[in-house]
Amino acid sequence: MTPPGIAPLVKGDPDAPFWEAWAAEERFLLHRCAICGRHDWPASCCVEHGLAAMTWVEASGGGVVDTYTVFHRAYTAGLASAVPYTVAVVRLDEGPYFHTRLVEVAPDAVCTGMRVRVRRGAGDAFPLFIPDRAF
Amino acid sequence: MKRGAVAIVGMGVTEQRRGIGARPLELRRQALEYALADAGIGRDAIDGYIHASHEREDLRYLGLSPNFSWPVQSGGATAPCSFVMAAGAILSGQAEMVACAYGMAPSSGGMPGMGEKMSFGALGYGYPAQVGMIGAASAHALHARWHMDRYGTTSRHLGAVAVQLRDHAVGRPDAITFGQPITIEDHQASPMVVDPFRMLDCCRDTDGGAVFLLTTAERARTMAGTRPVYLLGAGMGHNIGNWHRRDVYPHHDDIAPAKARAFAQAGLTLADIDTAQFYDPFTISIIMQLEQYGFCAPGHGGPFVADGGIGLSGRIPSNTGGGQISGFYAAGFTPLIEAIRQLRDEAGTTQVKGARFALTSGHGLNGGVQNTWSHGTLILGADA
Repeated sequence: MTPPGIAPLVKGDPDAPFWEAWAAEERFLLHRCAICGRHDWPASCCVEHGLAAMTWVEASGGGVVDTYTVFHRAYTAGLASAVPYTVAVVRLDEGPYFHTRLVEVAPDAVCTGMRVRVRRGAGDAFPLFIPDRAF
Repeated sequence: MKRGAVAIVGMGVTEQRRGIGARPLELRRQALEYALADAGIGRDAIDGYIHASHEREDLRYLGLSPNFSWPVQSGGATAPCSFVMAAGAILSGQAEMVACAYGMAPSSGGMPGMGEKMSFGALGYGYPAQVGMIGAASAHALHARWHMDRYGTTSRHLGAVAVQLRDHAVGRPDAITFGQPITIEDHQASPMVVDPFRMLDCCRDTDGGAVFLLTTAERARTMAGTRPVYLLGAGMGHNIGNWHRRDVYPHHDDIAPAKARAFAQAGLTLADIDTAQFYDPFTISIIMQLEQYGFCAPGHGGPFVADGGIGLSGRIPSNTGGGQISGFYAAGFTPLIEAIRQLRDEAGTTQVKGARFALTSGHGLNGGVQNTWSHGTLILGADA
């Protein structure tokens, strides 16, 4: 198909809309191509259509654990009180991977394939995920 | 690239261990002098220099006067990338004798005159670092967990890799674990670091230098007293494609295109390969590469190793110097060093009898997100 054209320059941080929406209202956004509907995170060119048709849209904030690891060692002083903690790669319902920390669940209760969703109401600066017990 | 058009006619390897206390540049100096002695040539013969560093003092300090000096940095794939760059320079007529140099001293940081101690905090990439994803072990652990949950690979399978590598290393004097065998029970008792990796699943940083001298096959044949090893095939793949396809974690790397190109250039198949030297910072790396190169079926890498598949009498003797985990960590140069030693019949207690063809791999440097790294395949031969 004909390429949709050359997008204008994005000034500043291309991911700023994501962080602003999360910080202001805990809305969880993804970058979506209006032509093919493919979602991405963080800000990315669509592999078929470039940047021109990419817009930030609100996403469900849900997904499944694709894989994970449990840190038993703190690699920085600031993480000493956090161990053991679980870093997971969530496959969001819209498709993209999202690296995050799983909270409100013991590391040994985590498994691949479990339903998770973004935690809201806890003032998290970075979106953390919790088990989706309603599922 | 035409099979066998380029040969490695010199290799210099310094001691490889923790806390040597020499600067990286000095490690490259000694490795270069070993390599020149190995090839029987002088500094003036070097007309191209390719180095896995961003330092600027190499040519002055080393006393070299080449026509070019190129840095190459693709993490653990730097080694195969540097050989491909050298071959490109040679085959395009830019140089006749290229030195590919490596020298690092990560385990001597903080010693007098050695600069800052390396901070693990620097080994986090991008957004995942904000939730505490730091260090190479966690990135590889994501692959390992996926593999375990998908295929039933166990911690004991990972341990089988660690024990086999240690078995290879115990008789090799330059391995950091020389003379220190381990058992599967030792592995199971070693502390969990980044689940599912225990301490004995992980390599450690070591200091060391290595320099390789590459030239044309024609020139190699005129160099009496050398034991040339030939570059038969090379291929590259990048796992960012698997990121775009949302298929990262089943793949240690994007090996398929690298393998296809390297074997096509070499005119060989897997059955021809006598020994494999894989990039192996963590035990899962061996298991997943065995599968993705096709030495065993997907999901069977753990049992393959546990059944002796990578031992000296196994299907494909692999990482015969102990690899990075039990041998030494010279980044992607660890596999190349051992492959060349095998093909020169210099691998001591773990020499594969009559080894003619060796497969080597390197992988590294994130492509923008964790687990999206380059992969390089080189096939080397004792004959052109």
